[in-house]
Order: sequence, then structure tokens, then C-alpha cells
Amino acid sequence: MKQYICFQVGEAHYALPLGPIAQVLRFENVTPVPMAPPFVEGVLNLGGEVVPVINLRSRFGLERGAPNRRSRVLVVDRGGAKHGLLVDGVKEILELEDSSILNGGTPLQGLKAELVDGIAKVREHLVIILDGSRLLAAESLGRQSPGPGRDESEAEEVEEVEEVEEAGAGRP
Amino acid sequence: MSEIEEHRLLRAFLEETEELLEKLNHCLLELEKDNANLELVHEIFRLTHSLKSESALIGFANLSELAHRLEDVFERLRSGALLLGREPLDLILGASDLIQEMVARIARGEGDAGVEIHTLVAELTRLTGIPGGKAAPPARREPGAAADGSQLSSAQILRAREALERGEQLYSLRFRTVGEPLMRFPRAYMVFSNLEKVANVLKATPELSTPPPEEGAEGFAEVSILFSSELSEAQLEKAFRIEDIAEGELARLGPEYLARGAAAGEAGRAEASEAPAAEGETAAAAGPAAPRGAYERTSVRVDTTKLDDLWQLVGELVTCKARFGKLTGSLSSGSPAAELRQDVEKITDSLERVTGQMQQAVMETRMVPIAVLFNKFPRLVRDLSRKLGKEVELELAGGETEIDRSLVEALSDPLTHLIRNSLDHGIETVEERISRGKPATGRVSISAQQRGGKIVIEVADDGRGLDLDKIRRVAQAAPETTDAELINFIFQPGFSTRESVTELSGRGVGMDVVATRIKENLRGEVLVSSLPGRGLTITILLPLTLTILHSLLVASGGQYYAIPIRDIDETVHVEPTALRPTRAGEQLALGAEEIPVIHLALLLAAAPVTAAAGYLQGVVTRRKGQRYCLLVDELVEELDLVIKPLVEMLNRSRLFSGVSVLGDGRIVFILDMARIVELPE
Repeated sequence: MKQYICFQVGEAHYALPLGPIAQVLRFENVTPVPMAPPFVEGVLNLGGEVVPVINLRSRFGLERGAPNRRSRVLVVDRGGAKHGLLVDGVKEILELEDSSILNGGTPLQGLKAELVDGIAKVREHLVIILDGSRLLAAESLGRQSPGPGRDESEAEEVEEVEEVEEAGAGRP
Repeated sequence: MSEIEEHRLLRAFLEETEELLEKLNHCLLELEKDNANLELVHEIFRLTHSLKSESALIGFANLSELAHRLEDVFERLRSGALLLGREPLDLILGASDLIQEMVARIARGEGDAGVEIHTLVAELTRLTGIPGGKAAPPARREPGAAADGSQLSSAQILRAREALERGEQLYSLRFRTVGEPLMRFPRAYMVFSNLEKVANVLKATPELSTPPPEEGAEGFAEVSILFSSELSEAQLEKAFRIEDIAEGELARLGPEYLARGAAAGEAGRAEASEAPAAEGETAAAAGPAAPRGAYERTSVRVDTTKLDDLWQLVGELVTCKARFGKLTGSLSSGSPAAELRQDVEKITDSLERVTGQMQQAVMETRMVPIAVLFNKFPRLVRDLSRKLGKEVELELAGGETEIDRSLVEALSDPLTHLIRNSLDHGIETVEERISRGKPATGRVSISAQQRGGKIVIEVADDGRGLDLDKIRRVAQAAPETTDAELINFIFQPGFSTRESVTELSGRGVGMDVVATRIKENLRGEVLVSSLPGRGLTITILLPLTLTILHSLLVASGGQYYAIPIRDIDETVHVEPTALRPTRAGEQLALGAEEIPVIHLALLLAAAPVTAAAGYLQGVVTRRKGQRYCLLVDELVEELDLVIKPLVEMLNRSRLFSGVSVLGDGRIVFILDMARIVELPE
């Protein structure tokens, strides 16, 4: 029996293991980052730590949409570097048996298969279980610095996913 | 085993080991100079011995093996059975290099397995004549014996060591349960839970904390438990429900039990992780050698007087708080406004002083002596001069100068490069030196000192100095080019006067990289002074700390940004009428001068330009001799910012040199002015 936090992005329901989720916050005080890739919603000050907030709608290839009062930021802490995930609302905490999770296949367009850990059926819904580390490792994709210029944000759609962990305390 | 404990154990190990290696290196270098020094041999023997035991304890077999071989060598040296000549010394240094590499790998989370040690181990073994490829092969435990140290995971070892440090004793208890098979687990569990009240159970075989599947009770006929307790044996006997136990056997274990267990190494470890199902989940974690992310050294040694100072400042801060509390009281009691204001001012003054001093004190805890960096240079100079066939003496001075720890790593490459240059290009061969009437042995000196608000590092040699004529030729400089300008050519990318590329230098990369790193990454300066035929001195000036930056806060498009004060020439009011569009972009007339204009808001695509006040503010900056004016909405204030690095994801445009959090929680990005003025081009 493992616990998951279940949330909504667009119409679909997703879940992440509850373990690394440090906090769930309302969407407030997010400072936009000029010239950042589109999936970066902004940064958040969490007790002096500057935490990037990733918009899961853009991450999943959906239209961005303005955050509303149901929007939440899930703060994921995987030892060191924290990340915020902007979602369209938190549903519930699920307890799922490993055996009730079906592996393989991505059910939705725009969602890359490697981000999906499996699918579970909870009551009448399908819940897509995400692979948290891949989801965030993917944030470091396109690490190679493309040439200077304003079109850099377009380089974001680089396909390969580098398993390089973003060292939160990288040197200046 | 929890990952946190695993981390803690490794961190502690790395910290100890790094200190040990530092000492080892130092001693080895001393030994090279003074190979008859028996005291050093003793010291190194002790160091290799601790390295061997420490690494064996945590399960790094390769590291431990090599340290063991090295220990043997010093054992031989100590007893006089071996003499320290050229060959042993080279082998010893080779082994020390390999050990460094393994530790570096372990620190990166890669374990020590990837390093080939066999050749060196064989050679060291040949040297000592002490046989045995493996460090004392572990005694296999006899079947049915109590769980011994070899079956302990590293977290269990850690807990056992901590218990010993608390002054507790280690015990092992073995017993058989009486009665019918079905009652075995409950009986064993009774003993176990009674024991838990007076002791810390480290390990129970079989696992007793969770009930077994029903048919599994068979396995509880014989149980062994390893635990620590502050009680004596006699007191412990009372804690057991004797009627439930048959053939109980309690034994006290000495601390050597742990070392013995760890020496059993991989074999025992693998066994342990295969054992009970409860450990299945952590099987991967059982071998600390498995890659699990990097274990960066995160703790610091701080002089206790610095901590005392900090503590005192905290005291003053608390006083300030109390005074504010009192002030709040007098506010509600309706004291006269003038009096209140005076009080507020007084308290604010002391608050300012205290926080300023605190900032300084905390900064100082980040400082380390530059010797940690210097210590690796004797070895470098030794190896290089042998390779080049030159005689070079290295002088180090000012190793006690304290620098910010972030500088240590950042300076390592540039300084290494400068030393290589000195040895390769600067210092002449022995024959050449003699023919020029110089001492046969060349001299390279590295010194550090704090002068004013800066750290001054000098790398000087008494070699041939810069050949300005050659630079003039290679650079095809105009005849009127001054010597000072010629010297600057060595900082040009790709510039080299070397005809042949050597392994060491002369590839045309180097000085430009040194200069760029120091100027841009470290916000420092590089000065060159050359005396043709007599030597070259390179001086590096660095700010005391990198993490606090005096900045100007500006507003643009509704957001705040910070500009480092050192990048600012002046600030100006800009009337829209003073802006002139030209073919090369907008220009600002500033007195007689016309300079290019950059709209920050447009550049950051944040918002359209707002000139609400009818005018804008301009921040004038200089880059490569050219002045630029950066237009912003508002100049907010000047302040000291604590800079944090920005993750790459947030800084694809590389427009920012960092990020900072203001007192009110607001996040500001620090503009990298060099990049900002380059962008529009």
C-alpha cells in the first residue's frame, strides 16, 4: 500500500507518490522569470530558498490558462533541490496497491510515455501515475546552451531527456 | 536501512578521509625532502592504518586494500627492513594518487570499485614482500552462530558505534524457545519486547519486529539478537522472562567486534542483503559502494572563537527584540511621538550594527586558509619539473590567508595553469640558466595575502619573462604598440608564442581562460609584470567574498532587478527628448557623448516601456571601453544582497548572474551587465 497525491491537470487526473511532496501551496507570490522557457511559471520564495515553479499544463502540452483559486503548487523535495509543480487542483490522497497499477502506454496525447509510471483505476476515473524523478529530470532538458538570442526559449522542445540532476546549489 | 543514515555515514567517512588525505599528502611531500625522518614514517603509518580501517568499516574494499598495502610499506620502512629510495617513493606517491581518485569517486557517489588497483597492489606487495592479495581473509562465520558484525549493514554499524560512544555496551543474546512450534514466535517476541525496554536492539535474526506468516513460526526455535544497553550483564539477566527461554546465552562484545565485522566486507554484506524479506527493499542500499548520487562535503570546521562571537551577537539581537517589545508597550500607553521616534531610531541603529557584525561573522565562518589550495602545488611542481627535466624550487607564503570556500575550487584551475606556464615557458633549462649566469635551480613562488578589501595572490618565477619582441611578431602588432599593450596579447584567446605544442602548455588555450575565469567568474583582476630575462609575476586580485554584492535595486516592468554597483559608471535622468533613433539603434545624448541605449523592459520582454513620470532612469555601464545606457522605470535603492546561484533552467538566457531574496521576501534577479549589453548586437 503506497500513498499518492492525486491532482488534476486539464481534464485528466494524475498522481505522484506522496513521499517527496513537501508542501501544497496556493498559487500566490510567484515571481515571473523573464525569458525563461514556457514551462517555467516563475519562482517562489520558500523560506529564503528560490524554488522554480513548473507549469504542468505547458509541460503536458496543454494550453497554459490563467491560474485560478483552485490552482495549487505541489512542492517536491527530492533531497536538496526543491521544485514547485503548478496543477489545476488537488483532489485527494490515494492509497494504492502496487498490483492495482497497470504499467505501460500513455493514454493522452502530448504526454510523453517516459513520464508515466502506470495507470490506476480509482472509482470511475483513470489516474495516471507519474514518475516524479523523470518529470523533474526532464526539466533540465536542453541543458546545452544554445546560442545567444531571444529565440532560446524555443530550444525547450528538445526531445532527449537528460538524467542529469539539477544541482540546486550549483556554483555561480 | 534509511537513506538518511546512509548519507550520514558516508558524509562522516568522507570528512574524516579528506582530512586524513590532506595530512597524508603533506607528510609525503615532507618525506620526499627529508627521507630519513622516522617521525614522518611513523605518522604516515598511522594515517594509512586509519585509512585502511575507516574504509574497511564502511565497506570500500578496494580503498581499504590499497591503504593496507601502503601501510605494509610503511611498516617495513619503520622497522628498517626497507629503505626509502626513488622507486618506493614513486610507488607510494602513485598509490596516494589512486587513493585520492577513489575518494573523489566515492564523493561523487560512484564507489571505489571502478579504479584498477591490482597492478599497484602487486608492486607494493613485491616491495614489502608481505604476501596476501586480500586484506586478512574474513573468517566465515560458523553456521548457527550469532549474527556477527559481517552481517551488519552500514547503518547498523553506525548505530552500534554511536551506542559505544554514548558509553553503552554491545551484547549478543542467543536463545532457544521452548514449547510447541506455534508458540515460538510469541515467546521469542516476549523476550524481544522486554529487551527493547532496556536496550537498543540493533539486529535480530530472524526479524522479530513483525509477526511471521503463520507457517513461519518454525524458524523461531533459535533466535539471536544483537543490542546495545547501558545496563550490566547482571541487570540484563533480570530483564528477561527466563521461563520463556531455553538455553539462553548472553555475551558482552568488545568494540573490536565491529571492526571484525566490517573487515568481512563484501561477502558478509551480500549475504546480509539476501537474508530476510524485510531487508529486501533495502538490498540495493546495503552496499554503500552503489552509486546513489554525490555526497558533497557539507559540514564545516569553524574556529570556536568565531562561534562565540556569533553567540554574543545573537545575544545583542535578543536585546534589540526586547527593546522593540518595550517600545510596543509604550506605543499603546500613548507616550509622546517625539520620544517614540527617538527610541525607534536608537533601536534601529543598534539593529543595524548587530546585523552588520553578524553578516561579517557568518561570512568569516565560510573562510578557509588558502593553504588547502596551496598544498597540492608542491606535488605539481615536483612532477612537472621532473617531466621537463628542469630544476625548480617552489616557495609558498601566506598559506594562512583566509579565503571564501567558494573560491578554493574556482581558483584551483587558474593557479595550476599559471604554475604550468611558469615551469614550461618561464623557467629555463639548467644549461640555459647557467649560461646566463643564473642559479641552476629555478624558483617559483606563490604567495597570498589580504590587502585592503582584497585577496592578493602572486605567482612569480625567475625565468625568462615575456619575450615582447616575439609577441610583437606573432601578434603582428603595430610598431607604436606599447609594452603594456603587448602584454595584454597573452590574454587573447588562442594566442601562443610557442612553436611546438607540448603536453603541458602552448596549445594557445590558457591565459585567456585564466583571465576570463578570474575577471568574470570571480570578479577579480589579473595583473602582469614581466622583467625580460629575469622573470614574470602574475598578480591576481580578488574580492574577499563572492556571496555578498553591493547592488543598485531598479524597477522595470513591475519587477525589481539588481545591478552590481561595480558595473555602474553613473545614473542619469533620461528625458524622452534626449533619445535619438539611429541606424545603429537608439542613442542617448549625454553631454557631448552619444551612447547606445538598452530598454530593460523591452529586452526582458516583460512589459512595454512605461514612462509614467515622463522620463526614465538610465544606468550607465561600461563594457570593453564602450559606454551603454540601460533604461529602467525607477531606481529604488542601494543595498547589499546575498547572492544565490540560479538553476540553469531559470537562466537559459544567461542574463542573470544570480538571484537574491529581499527582506520583504521579494525575489530579485541580478543582472549580468556584460551579457545585457552584448545581447542587442
